[in-house]
Amino acid sequence: MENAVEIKGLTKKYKDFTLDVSAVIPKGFSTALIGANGAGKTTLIDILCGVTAKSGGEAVYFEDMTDTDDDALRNRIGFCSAANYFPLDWKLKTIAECMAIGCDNFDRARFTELCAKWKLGSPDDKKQKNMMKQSDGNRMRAALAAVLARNTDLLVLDEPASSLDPLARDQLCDMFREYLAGRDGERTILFSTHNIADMELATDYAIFMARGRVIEQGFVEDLKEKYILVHGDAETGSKAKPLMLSYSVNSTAFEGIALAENSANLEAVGAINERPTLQQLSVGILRKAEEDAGK
Amino acid sequence: MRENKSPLTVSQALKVYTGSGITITILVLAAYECIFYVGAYASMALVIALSDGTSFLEAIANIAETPAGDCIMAFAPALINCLILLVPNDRNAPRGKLFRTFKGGFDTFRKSRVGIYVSAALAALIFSLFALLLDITGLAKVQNSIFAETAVFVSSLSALGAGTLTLLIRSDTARGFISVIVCFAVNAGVAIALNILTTLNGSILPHIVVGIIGAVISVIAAKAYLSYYKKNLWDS
Repeated sequence: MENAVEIKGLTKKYKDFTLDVSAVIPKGFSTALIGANGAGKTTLIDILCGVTAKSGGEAVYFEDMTDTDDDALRNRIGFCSAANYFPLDWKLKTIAECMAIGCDNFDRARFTELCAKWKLGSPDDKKQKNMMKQSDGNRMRAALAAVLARNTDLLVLDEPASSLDPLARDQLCDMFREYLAGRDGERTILFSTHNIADMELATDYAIFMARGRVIEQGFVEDLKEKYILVHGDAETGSKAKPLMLSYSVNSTAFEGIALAENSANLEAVGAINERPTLQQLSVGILRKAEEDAGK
Repeated sequence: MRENKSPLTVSQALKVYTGSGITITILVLAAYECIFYVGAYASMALVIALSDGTSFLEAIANIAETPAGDCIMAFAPALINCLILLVPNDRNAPRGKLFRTFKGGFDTFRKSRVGIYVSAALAALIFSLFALLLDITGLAKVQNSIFAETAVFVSSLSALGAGTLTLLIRSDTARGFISVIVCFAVNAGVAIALNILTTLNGSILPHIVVGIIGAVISVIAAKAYLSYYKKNLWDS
């Protein structure tokens, strides 16, 4: 398997936080960066896109590129930050003009097409609203249209779904598929999200982060083989708990995740095992990380 | 990491950072200065006319006999200098992250700053010519006439340089506060000092000397600011 990005001991040190990440982003797939607030997802994305300087380590892009200040690499990465993407006094026309100047591979016709698809209007319209008068969702749509209109090999999106409605999230998943299919196996997406359930269909590979470190990573299908969702009534919970990685219980039932290798033992104590969704897997893995940190 | 040279022109760099190229930026800044000046001058003439019970035209003639008009003129570019110098450019400001991903990287940012300084200087020049036109036609007369308009232009260059030096202050609050004071103090202070010298000896030489010093300070300050910005904000 080829990797679009290989992250080798990438570090960033702040007064009260240290990011220390080693991970891979497989080429040709959509990778989700999953973690609680403050886990370091945005910091990692900013470093990978050359927006924030790293303290140490290395990220190797497309097998042999490492300098994020090199325009040859910049042109291959499309970046969309979580908020404040475009100045609020800009209109679609200004965005199109500035993107065309600032990026070599911006396709204005594609931008116009995407704006129409998302009902934002057209950058060629005489009367246009500026970003100030657009909703948060439309601002994000404009930002996504601008980045998707670039002919890039790697799309890096920080919380692209956060301000979108459920329908727009679904459309975003379609666009991810369309982008990846655009140059069969050559394009890659990395995105961070809290809306795991909505973005599950768009996720091939997942990287879980907690407290600045990667705690788990792998293809979603492999992770669903590695872990199982365990649930049952509260009485069975106490017997199942020692075999589980994460565990939550109320007065009637318990739920959590466990390693698939423990499934026979869990069934023996009366627990019910199921294949987890990415959302359930994420909650379980992040809860385990929280519990480990508290010990 | 090697230094990346931006393929963009100064006007293009300014366009990607502000949404407007250099010509539009100069015209917009100059227009703001002219509107501010006309508004302030007309308000003062109106107040004088109402308080003295004279006509508006007589009030304008009265202003021309005092240094009041010369002073008002200096405030217009000071206000604009403050506004453009204090536009935030850090990573977390709106557009901050996007701009770092544009081709040319820091060199594009450097060129956009050059564009801002050129725009501010040329806007001050256009404003001075506009004020001279109003002065010559008698619509807004000032005491020292062409000397006053020249004083405003050269004091703007000095204020731009001094204002840029205040951007090296790390605290946001202190920087905002001190920048405004410095821009207004230098713009008005230098213009008033030159007007006093004009009254005393009627020579243009001090204006030329101040203009050269102002330009040199602006260049040095801009270089110092860019170096500080790269080390402490861009590469952090």
